[in-house]
Amino acid sequence: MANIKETMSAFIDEEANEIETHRLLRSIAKEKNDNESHDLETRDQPSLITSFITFMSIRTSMLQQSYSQRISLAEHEALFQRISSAIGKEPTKHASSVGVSLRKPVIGFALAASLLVVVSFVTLNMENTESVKVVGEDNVNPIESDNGVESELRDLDAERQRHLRQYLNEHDRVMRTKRASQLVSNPK
Amino acid sequence: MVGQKDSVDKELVERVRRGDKRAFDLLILKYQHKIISIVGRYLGDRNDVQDVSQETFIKAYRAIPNFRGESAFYTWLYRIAINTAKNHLVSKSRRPPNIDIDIDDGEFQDSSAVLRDNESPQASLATKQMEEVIFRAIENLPEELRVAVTLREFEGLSYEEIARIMDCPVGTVRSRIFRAREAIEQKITLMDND
Repeated sequence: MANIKETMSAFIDEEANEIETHRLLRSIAKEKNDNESHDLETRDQPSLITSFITFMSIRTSMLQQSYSQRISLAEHEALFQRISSAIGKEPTKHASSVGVSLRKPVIGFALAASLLVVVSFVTLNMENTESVKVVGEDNVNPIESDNGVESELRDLDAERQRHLRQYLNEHDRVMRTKRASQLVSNPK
Repeated sequence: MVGQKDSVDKELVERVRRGDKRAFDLLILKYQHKIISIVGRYLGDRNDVQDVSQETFIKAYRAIPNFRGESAFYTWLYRIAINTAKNHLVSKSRRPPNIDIDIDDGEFQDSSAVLRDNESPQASLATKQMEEVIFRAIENLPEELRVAVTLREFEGLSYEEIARIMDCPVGTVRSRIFRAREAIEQKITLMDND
């Protein structure tokens, strides 16, 4: 909780990166879902949404920001819930046709490029680790089957997906090689 | 840090356009206080202020497919808020004030005397109490937390600039500002529980 609150604090200051922003989004969404099924009064520490509003109120007070100071924290939170709930009832928005048509060729190209990189990587990895492949193979979860990572990847654009996938594959390869070499180098 | 604010907002807007409503929640949380401050400069009644603020966000959500990103998201949202507030006054047959609030000043300027007069004594007292608690909490913070949060909130400096001034890593600044806010939050929670 402390970590995500620190991320939230950084987000308020425009200092959170894209992955952190994504995690914050998920945490707030999860909290909203939890709130719908639990009694709000039973929570023993401020929720993420309450803390967000409180942090913004602290800023408002420090800057002497007129009217919003006169709305209490509880009113701010109730208003947020009201707006969010109203937005929830709105039909889901999709990118306008102009934006989509402009992005289509770029996305297509980026996807093709990232697929090529992934295939090259996998081929290279198979060639490099073929001799030790059997050792510890059942202990390694391939990146592609990790749902958590996949959901992170899906929300990134193609270029960032490629970078993250490249990093994760490289990390996976190093771990696999390390584990294999530990077992292979100890014949007794 | 120039431009990062816009890029974070545009990324969130892009997510909304892709159908991720959760991203709009973050935009609401981020700008709710500012929008209330701006709308509050036009309308005196606190219920009207909240209703018009809500309407502003709903209009923005509906119009988001038309947002081209030529201006900052906040500038666009600000215009919707002003127009919604003015329309609200017209619909109540009251003449909108013949002033345009500067976007940079809108949320920082103190509200008109009319608003002050409309404020109930209880609300006024609560505002004063809150301010007192916050400023007392800031005074009692350890120096490194107090300096970090003050440079951020009063001076508007980026973490990198604060890190240079305080001669420490950016991560430390981030942590100090968070700890300062958390400490102030605890005092506010205690005040609310009393």
